[in-house]
Amino acid sequence: MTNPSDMQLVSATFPIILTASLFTAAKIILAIWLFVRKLPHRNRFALRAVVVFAVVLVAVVAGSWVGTVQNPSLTTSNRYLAQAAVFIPLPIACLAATAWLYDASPWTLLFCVTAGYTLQNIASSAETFNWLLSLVLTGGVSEPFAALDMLVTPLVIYVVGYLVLVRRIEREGLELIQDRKMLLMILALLALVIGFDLVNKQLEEIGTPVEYVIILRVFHSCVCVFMLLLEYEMLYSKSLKTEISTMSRVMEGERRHLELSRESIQAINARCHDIRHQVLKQLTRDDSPHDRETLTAIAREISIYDSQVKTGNETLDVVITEKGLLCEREGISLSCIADGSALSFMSATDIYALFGTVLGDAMDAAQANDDLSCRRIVVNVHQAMGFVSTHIEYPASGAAERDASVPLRLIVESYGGTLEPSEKNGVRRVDILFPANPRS
Amino acid sequence: MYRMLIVEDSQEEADRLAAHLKRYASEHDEEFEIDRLVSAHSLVARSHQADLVFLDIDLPGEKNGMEAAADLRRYDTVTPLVFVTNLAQFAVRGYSVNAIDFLVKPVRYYDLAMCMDRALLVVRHRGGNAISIPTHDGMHVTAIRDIIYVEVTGHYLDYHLVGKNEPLRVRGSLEDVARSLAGTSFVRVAKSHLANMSHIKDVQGDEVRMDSGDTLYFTRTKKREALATIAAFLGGST
Repeated sequence: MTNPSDMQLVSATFPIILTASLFTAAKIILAIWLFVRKLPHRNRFALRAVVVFAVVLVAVVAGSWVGTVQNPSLTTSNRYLAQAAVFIPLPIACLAATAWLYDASPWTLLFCVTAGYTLQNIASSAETFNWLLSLVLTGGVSEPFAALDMLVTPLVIYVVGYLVLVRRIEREGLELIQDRKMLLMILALLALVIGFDLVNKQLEEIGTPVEYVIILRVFHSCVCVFMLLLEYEMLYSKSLKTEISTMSRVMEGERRHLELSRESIQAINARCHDIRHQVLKQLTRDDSPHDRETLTAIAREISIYDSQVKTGNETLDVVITEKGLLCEREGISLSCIADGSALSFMSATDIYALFGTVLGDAMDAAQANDDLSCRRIVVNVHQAMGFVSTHIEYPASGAAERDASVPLRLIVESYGGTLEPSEKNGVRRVDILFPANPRS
Repeated sequence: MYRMLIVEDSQEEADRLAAHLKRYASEHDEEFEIDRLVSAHSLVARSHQADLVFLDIDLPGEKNGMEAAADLRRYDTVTPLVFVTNLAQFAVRGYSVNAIDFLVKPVRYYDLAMCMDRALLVVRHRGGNAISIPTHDGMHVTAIRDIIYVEVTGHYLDYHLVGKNEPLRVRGSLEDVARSLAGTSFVRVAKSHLANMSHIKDVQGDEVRMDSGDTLYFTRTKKREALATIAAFLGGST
């Protein structure tokens, strides 16, 4: 059993400092790699990675040599100053290295580097905490325990970090970082945390009771955890705000479009009604100069436009009528059986945006089919089991269909609903389910 | 073998539809018995049994197709209906008689085939196959549509059946039952319950009320997947 205070006061040899430095470098690289590993690689990635590893190796060997052989005070009396001079600017060096390896924005890389570096700080803090705890409980630290602590503790922290933080990035994506000032503040905070870590280590040597050092270690870990949470909060609440702002712009556009469509359809209906009235007048006249068969055919054709779809929901009527006229022109058969009154809980803009977008996609897919006889869109809206079920199906275009866009999902989910797209036997289906009374 | 009933006054349209149905049957390895009526009267008089009805909206006589469908629904709420019409605008209210689709004349084969893919799913859900349940007294064969829900308690499964006061209790695992009923109208609402969607009366929050009067409850981990299954079932996608 070795007394840690004795260990630290003894001048370390080159091999010991080299091993410890290599180990620390490996832990920092591993922590940052956890966050950047899914980012797109730059070309000749393997070669670049080899160069980075070589530079790190040379820097560690040279630094250890200078610190132990050329200027031993850097690893004894001045070692905390030397460590501060190395570790505080190190995130910037890591940022440069990751920017050379990965094709991502500097802000995304800064997020990854600061998150990785903070995770490594938590691991380092936990290691020291275990070491001090052993010191308090047993009066010393055995070498096997110290070795185990050095190997296992970072691994445990990294696994937890992967499960809690990294998987979320993989699941939800690393959105574009927009709050750049905050990220720079995190970088500054990281420098303070590193400084705080080094001061903590020095406290042991100036005779501060171990119990106080343990408390400061816990405090240091908490600051690191809060920093990571702050970064994530910043990333995801910002990305949510971006989604909502995009959606607001889309919805404003949809609202204006709805008003225009409603006016256009009313104008078409009024005009068709007038024409039909004129045609019927001609038909009732015995002395009409026009051919009766032609007049009857015109009246029948016009009735298609005159008979606006009535689903029980004015907005759905506008969408279906508008899309129906476009489908007619493109030779697409639109089969719509819809209880529009079941959608009364939705705002007009939401109905217009939801059905307009899905039917727009359906029409694009149907038009992509060269065989004109294979163009069909089905729309069903009905109530059952306490739900409003909406089913839309159309021929799959063959190309990769875009998934339901974020604004559409947000619309559906804002009413407590679910949206499930699927594809089978060349037919694309979109099933939307709303609780029948979402606000009751 | 499925019985298709075409209610159509136009010989030409009826022949076209019948030809498309035969082609669909041959392409999908199905067997259809196709029958035809020329007016709504015979349909309402219950003279024909059918698994799927194609109903012309613009029928001659006292009742048009929509009115005939409303009459039909007074005593038959389940036989799937498909409207056939000249004007799509008139069929949009088909939901009021629980029509699953409509086809515009002259009917194109592709439209009919797409419609039949969904219609046959509905037909199969309401008709359906039977399963064998091994009990102490021997093999119990029951139609899938007659199972309201299956519940597991320890190592025992309780099959709650239509018209039975007591559930049928057998030893087994719900996972095995779920596997054997995959692709039918069953949905896993909880770790311990498998519900037949054809028997769900309504869903309120986490409560799943069955038409037998029993209430099941979604578990949080199963709810999202269960709602996706219900959405596809109601939409006719599965």
